[in-house]
Amino acid sequence: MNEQERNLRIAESIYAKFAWNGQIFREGDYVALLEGKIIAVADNPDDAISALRAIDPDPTRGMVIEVGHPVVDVIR
Amino acid sequence: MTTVAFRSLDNAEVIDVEFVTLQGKLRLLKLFVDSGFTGRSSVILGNASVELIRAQIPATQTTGALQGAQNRAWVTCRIPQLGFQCTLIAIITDVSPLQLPSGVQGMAGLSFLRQFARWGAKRAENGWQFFLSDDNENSGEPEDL
Repeated sequence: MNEQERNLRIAESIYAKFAWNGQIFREGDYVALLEGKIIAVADNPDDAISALRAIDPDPTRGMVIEVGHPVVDVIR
Repeated sequence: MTTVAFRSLDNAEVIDVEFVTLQGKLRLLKLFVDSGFTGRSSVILGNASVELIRAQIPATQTTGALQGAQNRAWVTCRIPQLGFQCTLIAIITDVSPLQLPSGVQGMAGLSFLRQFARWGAKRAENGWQFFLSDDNENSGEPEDL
């Protein structure tokens, strides 16, 4: 499992259960993930991204998710 | 309280938005306005916009003019005349299926428009304009760009 897949595994759990490994999240939280670990939880995307980029400046590594129910985007 | 207006194209409402690269450089993009683009993503940008990506976010499913799983990323954009700056979700994809007008690099949807107190189109002396405002009241004429 590569870095992105490990992050996605956590992201999918948080989207589905608002929880991962005993840690509970609220809708609207922004969670930064890197190398299959949660490295920051913030109430806005900028703070979560800053925490992520402070550890790894490569924008292709890690991810920041918004806790909430999945929504299908519609482009009419 | 400020209102900013953008000259409409003959066949489309458009806005000019500055995007900030990771290195802090600015890139001005003209975006097609489509309130029928709904969901959590705010803008759609072409694959040439990878330099604007601040962080990845899991792909999303889309339906309509773009179908299937779409790559997404966090990008930071601003409209200096409004003092507006925001980090929001962009779909990064091949925009050719959207058949955007010439000179238009992407699309802004309802989630983007709802960052503002008011938005819409009006006919001015020199033609149609699309405006964004941080003011809930119609207290003045838009600032032309």
